[in-house]
Amino acid sequence: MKKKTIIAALLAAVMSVSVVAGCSSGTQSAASVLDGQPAPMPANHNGRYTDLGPDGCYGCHGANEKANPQLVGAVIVPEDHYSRGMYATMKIDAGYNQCITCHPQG
Amino acid sequence: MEISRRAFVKTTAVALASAAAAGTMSALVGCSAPSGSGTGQTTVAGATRTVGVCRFCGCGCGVIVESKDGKIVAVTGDPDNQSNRGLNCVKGYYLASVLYGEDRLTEPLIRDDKSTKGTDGGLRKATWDEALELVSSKLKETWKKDKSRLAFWGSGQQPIVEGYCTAKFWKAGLLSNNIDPNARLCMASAVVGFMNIFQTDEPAGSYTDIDETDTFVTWGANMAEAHPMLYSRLTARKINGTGVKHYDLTTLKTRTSASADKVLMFKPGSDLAIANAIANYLVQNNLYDQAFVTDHLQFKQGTENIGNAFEDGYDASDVGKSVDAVQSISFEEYAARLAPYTLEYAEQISGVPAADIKELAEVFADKSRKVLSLWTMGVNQHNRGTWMNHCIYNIHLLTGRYAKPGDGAFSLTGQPTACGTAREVGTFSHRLPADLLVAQEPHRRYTEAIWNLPEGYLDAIQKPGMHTVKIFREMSKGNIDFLWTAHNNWAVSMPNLTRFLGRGDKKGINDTFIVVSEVYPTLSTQYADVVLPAAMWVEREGQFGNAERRTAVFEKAVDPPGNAKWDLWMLMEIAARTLDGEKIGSKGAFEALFGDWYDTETHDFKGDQREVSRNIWEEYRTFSNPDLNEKAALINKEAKLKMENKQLAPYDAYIDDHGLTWPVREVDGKWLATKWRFCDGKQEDGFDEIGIQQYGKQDLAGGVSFYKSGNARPSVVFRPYEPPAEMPSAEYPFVFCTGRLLEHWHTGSMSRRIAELDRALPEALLDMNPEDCAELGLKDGDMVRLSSRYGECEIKVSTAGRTSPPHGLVFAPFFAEEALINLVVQDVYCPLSKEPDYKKTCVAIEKL
Repeated sequence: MKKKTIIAALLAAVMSVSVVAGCSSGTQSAASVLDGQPAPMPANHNGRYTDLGPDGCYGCHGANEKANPQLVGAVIVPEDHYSRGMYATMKIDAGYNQCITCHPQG
Repeated sequence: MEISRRAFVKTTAVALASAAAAGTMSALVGCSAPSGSGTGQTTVAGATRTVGVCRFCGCGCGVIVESKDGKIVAVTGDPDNQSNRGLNCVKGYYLASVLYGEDRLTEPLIRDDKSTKGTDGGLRKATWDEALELVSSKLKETWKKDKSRLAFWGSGQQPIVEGYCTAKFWKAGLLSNNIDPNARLCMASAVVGFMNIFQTDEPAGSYTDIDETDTFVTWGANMAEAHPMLYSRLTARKINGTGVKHYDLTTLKTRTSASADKVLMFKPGSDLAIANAIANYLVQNNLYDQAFVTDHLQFKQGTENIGNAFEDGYDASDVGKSVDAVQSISFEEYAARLAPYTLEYAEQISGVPAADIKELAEVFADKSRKVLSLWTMGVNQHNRGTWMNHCIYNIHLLTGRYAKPGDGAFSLTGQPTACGTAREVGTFSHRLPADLLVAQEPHRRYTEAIWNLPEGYLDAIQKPGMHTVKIFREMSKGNIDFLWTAHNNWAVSMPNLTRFLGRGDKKGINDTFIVVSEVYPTLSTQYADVVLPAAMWVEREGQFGNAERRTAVFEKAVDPPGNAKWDLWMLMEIAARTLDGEKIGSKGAFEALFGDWYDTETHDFKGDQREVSRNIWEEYRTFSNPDLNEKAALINKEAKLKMENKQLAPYDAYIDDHGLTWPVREVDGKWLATKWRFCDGKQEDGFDEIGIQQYGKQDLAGGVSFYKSGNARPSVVFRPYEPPAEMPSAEYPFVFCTGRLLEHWHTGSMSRRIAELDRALPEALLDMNPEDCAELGLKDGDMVRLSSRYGECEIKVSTAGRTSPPHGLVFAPFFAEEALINLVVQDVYCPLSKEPDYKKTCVAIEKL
């Protein structure tokens, strides 16, 4: 438990200063993105959703038993996409499982 | 420090939770952090928050609009709107951008030289006064000379009070029924089906059915692309539920097919045979609900072998005049008519294995499951669209699966307010508000009572006017002198554009005086004589009514740009000028119709937009609250109209409650919505308790009472399989299906001006089967000529699989003006509903 707590603290420290790769994908400029607008998928994701479905997104962007966005520097799915609106559930709300509905291929 | 990956992942989750608690999570979340959505808080500091409804599809998602310094700065899902509960789709999230395209129309435009029609030049700026005088003088001239030569083409995107006033002006002011909406192109088959079967329009259930059902059956419906929020709810139900199944009946695989447990891919038009085979299986094997049949249903058959409306004279022909006729038959006679539709016969017609049809039939028979059918254009835009609506309802009625939570037949609506406006206020050539019909004498009397017109005044409009295809066919022949269109883009969306745009031998469009109310330049404005710049979406207050009968208000959030004006203001000005000097009874005509709301001296409304909308709404809701008008109440009682069937609440309730599904009933001072019409149960739980108490009967089979239907018995009408209007031939070997894709709304006039959506889907492609491509020597990206007996267009081929057509079928979306696929599409329509068949034009494909 102590080991895990230390690691958690280290990660929290890292994350508080890190820049997440997705934001710098260059597919949207600050001028064009208004608040609340979901980012389209970048070009290098072409076909990923149609081939893999939502699991193909969660694998990098979601926090659950299988995923770890920090390993690949991926944009983390916002908290309101999670079950009961809580990251701690580590489970995406079923209503948000159609990622491509809001994040089409850009 | 060694640590397994599993432990690392778990640890990360702990860290994430910690970071969230520490407030550092926002640095990690996506660029577009919708931290406000779902919580009701603004995402932008200092912004003003207003309640709205998405501008786009029939889902009718509620949105929260944030504006600051006169501009919209954020749009998020409204968690308090029960239609979507905060969910949205990409188009909804990008709504803020839709107002700010660079080429927004801000000044009236006039075309002086008709020879410039069809080009992107020829329009000059004008003042409002000049434009309005020109429009009203042309309208009045045509009206006085021959009112059969004028027409209004409206829309299922026109807000409710605007549509209501347009209908009132056209029908009571001009005494003309030449008013029809573009909803004729999307929902007419559903409407005629509803009226034939139930004598009332619109679904009995609600979106809550999606959360409650065990089985989804999608009939020719690509919900993932065309009703994305609802599709998210469908897949959520599959994930959250146990043993929830989805059967997808389709002519080509789509994104919707991905969630299906079984895809039944059928030959175009053969859905009729499949549905009849299911009904036959249920009847022959005694798997139908006998008590439901006994308590609720009557059986009929109708005119058959009705051909197709290739010729302009079809409607007036002997067969065209007989298409609505039905005769009562017994259940046994109905069973006998079904008997030829064996599973094997249906397989032969459709190509769907008999075993799969049987499996689906058994699902309908399985009393342990609830079944929800969903459909839109695949069924409605069909040369037998009304019949196909009948056939789906037949199955549901035989099995008692209608109007009950999770068990229903849900006709989805394409546009945001085809229900709320076109259908409910009556901007159709044959209708009056609230399901009333021009042809019915008590309906005219009732309308006269509410509109305070002399008795008998509306007898002048007892004959229905021209439906949409007829308007455009007549225009092409030079028989329409004045056409005003609003909230649509007919030059891209109408079928058979080769004819209607004068690119064939019929050039009537060049002589018609065309007025287009618009927000952006479109192909339609290239044919306009006058362009009137309109306020867009939340640049004015408006109201939409969505697919689940939810009426909702979108508040005004910002001002329109330049000299763009509220459509209602334009209508008032044109009505006032046109009706100048005219009388209704002893009163000035304009004063009689609109004087309570508009001041012709000041050229302005009597009150702000909220007050005016409220006042107009109060008159409109009298139709469904007859007790508000003594005369109307008497007619309602004597003629047994049961107008409370569509009861509406006072205006402000729709703002306070973020939308309400009608009928809305007043209980102890509160207005309670109804989720399931005709289904008995507590009103506060969403059942139709008050309606059934007033007009229905309790303790019938299924706990439902169809009190609005004739003799309280919906009609099961036998409709046979009849083939599509044309079948593939050596000359035109492919079937061409058209439709929508997620990123773009309809003709793209709004969504293509949003950079992200345009980038996501920059062009319309022709989806083809890879083997068909190989046979034609085509590869992905090749340009081809697509041609039919109607016209031709050029388009790029795709085998990328956005849709996966089978051999012999191709698909393209209609959002791209440069492809203009509707040059190729037939204008043949369902003889009953007059809705064109956009799904089955036979084409040839040639490499360029």
